[in-house]
Amino acid sequence: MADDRPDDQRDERIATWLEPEPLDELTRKRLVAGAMQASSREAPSSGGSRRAWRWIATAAVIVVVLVGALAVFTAQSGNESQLSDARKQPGPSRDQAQQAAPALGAARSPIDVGGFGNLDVPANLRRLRTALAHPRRAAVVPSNGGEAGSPSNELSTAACRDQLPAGTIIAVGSGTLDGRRALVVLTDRGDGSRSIDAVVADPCEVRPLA
Amino acid sequence: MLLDRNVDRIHAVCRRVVGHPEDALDATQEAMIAIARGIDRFDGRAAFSTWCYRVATNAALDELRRRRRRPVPAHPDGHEPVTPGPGVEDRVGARLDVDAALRALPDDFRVAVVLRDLCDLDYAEIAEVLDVPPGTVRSRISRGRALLVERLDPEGAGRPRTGNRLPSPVRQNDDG
Repeated sequence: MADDRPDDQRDERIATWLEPEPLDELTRKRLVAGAMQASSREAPSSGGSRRAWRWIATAAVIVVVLVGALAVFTAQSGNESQLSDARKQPGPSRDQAQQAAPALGAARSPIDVGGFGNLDVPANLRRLRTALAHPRRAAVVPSNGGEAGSPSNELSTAACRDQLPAGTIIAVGSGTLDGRRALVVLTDRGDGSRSIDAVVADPCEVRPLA
Repeated sequence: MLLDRNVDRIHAVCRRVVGHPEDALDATQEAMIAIARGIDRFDGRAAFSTWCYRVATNAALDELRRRRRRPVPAHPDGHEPVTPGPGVEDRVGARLDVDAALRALPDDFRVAVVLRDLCDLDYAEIAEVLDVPPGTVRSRISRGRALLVERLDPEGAGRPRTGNRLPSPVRQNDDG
């Protein structure tokens, strides 16, 4: 700056007054060394600060990923829940399902293939065997309609039922043998073999048919 | 080395702005540390020495503020210590007590005078260091000088300032 005014000139008299005592060499070195040390201490701390920021950034990324995953998972759960609701809505209610359970249980009960009349007639017996071999529920009321209850119920009340071979009763048919009421039972013995037996009433007896 | 070359000037600013030798050394150390740490951020728009003066001035003013916040310890028995009466030499010394004279100046005036007459910065540079307009710098220097001369050389306050007729400082009370 061009100082044209007398006041703008440096005042040498004041300059002389203001000149402080010089620093001794020891103090000078101490000041310089102190500044250098402080500045070199700052470098690792700034490195530490960078590391801290790196950690913070990593943690932030992890948090974002976790939140994103959680959001996706929640969305999928929501969809499944909606699908489940959608499946449930047109289907039976829970009460209806519970009501259907006995029917399913009945499906596991022996299949009643119906009545085949006089089983002393070979043709009838053969038809019964065929029906037992490929059991399907009888669509018609057994011909000897005077009988009370289903063959399964009759079988469960038969006094000699414990003489039947051990296994699972798969199907039951009915007819007469020697003029006596008879239930013909197909039993799965559990060892891969099956047996066909007749439970004849009055008096109750079991006759193997196969 | 930059720090080594500038430490005396930095200390001179701190010494005259702060007014106390030990506090001035603290301020000098702070300024040196600030310069060492900030040298990478020095943008080169001003001269390096001007930037150093700016850092030193700020460090000195910070030290002054800290010093003023410090409680002044009271004498244990509640009485001020009795000092012996000044001798002739002491009276001369007191007249030339630069620190006392500078302390009497407002901070703004003192800093402006120190930067102009001790550091030989021109008005524009001082304006940049203090971040004030050059006109303000001129005013502060003028009033600061007047107050300083009035205290250090009352007889010569009205005389023209040319030449070295005024006595040089014989003694300063800052030697501890």
